[in-house]
Amino acid sequence: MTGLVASAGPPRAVVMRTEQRLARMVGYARAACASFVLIPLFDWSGLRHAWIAVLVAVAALAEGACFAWRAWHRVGRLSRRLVLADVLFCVALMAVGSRAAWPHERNRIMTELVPFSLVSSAGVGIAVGLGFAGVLLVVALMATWSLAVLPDITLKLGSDLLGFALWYVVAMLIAAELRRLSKATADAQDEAAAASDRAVAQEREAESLRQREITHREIHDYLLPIVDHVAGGGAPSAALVREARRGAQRARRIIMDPRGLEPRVLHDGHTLANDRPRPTAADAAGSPGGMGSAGGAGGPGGAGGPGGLSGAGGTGRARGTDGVGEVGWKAAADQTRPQQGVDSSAAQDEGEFGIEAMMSAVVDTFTDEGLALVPFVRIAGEPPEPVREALVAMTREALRNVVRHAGQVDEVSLFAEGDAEAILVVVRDRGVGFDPATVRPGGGLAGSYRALERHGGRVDVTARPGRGVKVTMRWPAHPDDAAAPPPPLQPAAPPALTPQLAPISQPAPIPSPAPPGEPM
Amino acid sequence: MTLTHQNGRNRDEASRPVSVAIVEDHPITTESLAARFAGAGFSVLAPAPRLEDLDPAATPDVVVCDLHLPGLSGAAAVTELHGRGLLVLATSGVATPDEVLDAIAARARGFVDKAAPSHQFVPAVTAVAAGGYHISTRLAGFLLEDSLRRPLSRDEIDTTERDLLRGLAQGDLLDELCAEWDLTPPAAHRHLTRIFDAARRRRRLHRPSPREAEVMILVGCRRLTYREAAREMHISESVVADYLRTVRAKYLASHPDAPPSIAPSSAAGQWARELGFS
Repeated sequence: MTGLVASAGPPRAVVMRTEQRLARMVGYARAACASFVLIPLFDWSGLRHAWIAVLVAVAALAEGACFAWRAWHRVGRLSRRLVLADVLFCVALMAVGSRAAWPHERNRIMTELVPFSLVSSAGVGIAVGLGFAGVLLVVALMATWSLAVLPDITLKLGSDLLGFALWYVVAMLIAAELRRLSKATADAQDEAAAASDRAVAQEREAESLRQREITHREIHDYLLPIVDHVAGGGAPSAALVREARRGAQRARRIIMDPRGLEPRVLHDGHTLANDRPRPTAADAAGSPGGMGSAGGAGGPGGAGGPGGLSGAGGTGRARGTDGVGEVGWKAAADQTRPQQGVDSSAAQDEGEFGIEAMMSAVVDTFTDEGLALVPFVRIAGEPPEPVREALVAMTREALRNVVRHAGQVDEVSLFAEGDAEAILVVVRDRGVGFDPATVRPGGGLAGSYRALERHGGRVDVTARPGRGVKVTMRWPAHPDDAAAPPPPLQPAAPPALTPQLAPISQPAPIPSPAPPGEPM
Repeated sequence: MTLTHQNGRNRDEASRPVSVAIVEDHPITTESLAARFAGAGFSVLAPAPRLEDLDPAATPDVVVCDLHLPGLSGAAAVTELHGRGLLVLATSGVATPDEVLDAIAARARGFVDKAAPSHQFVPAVTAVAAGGYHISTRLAGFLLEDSLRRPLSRDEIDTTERDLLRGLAQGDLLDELCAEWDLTPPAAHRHLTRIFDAARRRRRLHRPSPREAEVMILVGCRRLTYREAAREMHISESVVADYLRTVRAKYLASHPDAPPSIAPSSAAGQWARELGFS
């Protein structure tokens, strides 16, 4: 019993509170049983020394109150000193109190001292427990009462003595039960706390593992092949430089926030908040209007507005950087901007001014933004400069629209094929699409494409709700001409599904003898 | 996309689900693919992070094989699997066009970008399991580029097949194109077979012969002089030089980005390392 308090480790709250409750239970019993001592006063005339009975009653009430008070305010286990004092008090009480009655009536009138003293035995059971000291104290109580009633020994004395022993034993049993319960509770609490600690640690570990896996994957998929190639003595090619540039950007991004590498998260976080995917026809009509700026750039561009090749390249880069800002790369934008500057200077150094190089730059820009772009770019020869400007600007706009409006897209294909005389560009996504029947043709969309129309090109937009959007740019626009791409390339969609936003039937400025399908 | 064909394996489709093995060293991809396949009703074999871990006795209908594996990898891995009589669907997140086309030359039945969402794998596996082919948007671009850059002198793919590749490279699905052009599944299968066959022959023309490979290893990797290599192979020095010139020509044909002035020995070395000869 005593071992419990001495047990290793700091005392735990639930154990302390249980001990406190046990102490209070003894306190209640002590306070309540003090009232028994008043009963002999009612047989005032039968007492030998009535004043002793009064003294005993006053002392017992005072002691009971004092005991209850101290037990109540006791934190933790019932004090042994208090119990010892209580036992001594009871011994004195019985020895003195029994003198209040005539010797042959002691066992009758002053028997009310017994229930008061029994509580002391219970206190010993709880505070001292099983052991020599406890038994000694109980025996002392029993002996005192036996001596106190000495001439008046009857069978009742047996039951009194049994009472002392039983209160002692039963108090010990109750204390043992409650202490076992409190220990089990405390253990369960400890275990739960440990388990929750473990769970937190596991969660943290899983998160770090996930991040490590992402990092591993990035290195494995994007950086290692480049390093391997270089380590293997591979020749630095334009493609390698492009991959290395992209790898560097991804590495920079992963250092800042590995979670930002989920490609669509980059956009959705911001796009959904500011720039909803087109839910209504009005929104859809308005969204192409957003391309007006590019239309403005593309339009005058044809007439020599922003003009030169390097100027156009610069515009593209700048717009790409804006796009980065729009999708909220936060710090990434700061990193990207100088990087873009390096890019464009690098592009200039390599002399990448042709339409193929410009298309590749567009591909790079959007791939770097996280768009799952599958490009096919093969243009042998250079179309007239305005046509090139318009095609590149429109391709960029079409891809920008995919980023903004197509919602979750698995894959976007950019197909650009042709030569100096004919070019076909197709941008195709399988995102949310829109319903052409409810979208008003014209607006910014047509405006943005006017530059190409002016130079003999044509744009078809095929869209269906839920089936994505297909933007087909053709230059020159000659459905009947032999120079047109082969018939299978022209989707035979129903007219309602194919809003001919710019049905221009202008003759091509340059005759095209070779079909684009066979540029070789 | 699902091109069933009589040449497919004799699999009782009603009684047995398609069984798929995944050879892939990246656990994330393996897990998501396996879950997707299980969701599509395929039975998925225990994942093998390396080709050597794949049970040699297993006979899955399709093996989805990453092209960058520890150990046996790339086209060599596809060749090994094909040698076991298995149908291979190649996948990779980073493979260059050459690596993908080499895998096709090693008789992979299709290629899917690893970055593609896993549900694109399901129709691809279904098509390959049925004895057909799968051409993803990216593979279509690679095949088209290859056929335009290195046309075969005979039996090259015809206009319809090239337009089929164009349509696929534009993001159309095969069954959409079939519906648009009134192609029956057997006719489409014929076209795809011819496309894959031409890609293989084109690749074979641009691969080193066994003797050339030997020279490539001796000169390119072990850095022997022409004379030492000639002694090793018991041929004359001028024959070694001839082999190296051919190697360089083939290397330039398949590596348009390489500088045209590259020395024959360094071309041999780079290509040998790339092909995993060393």
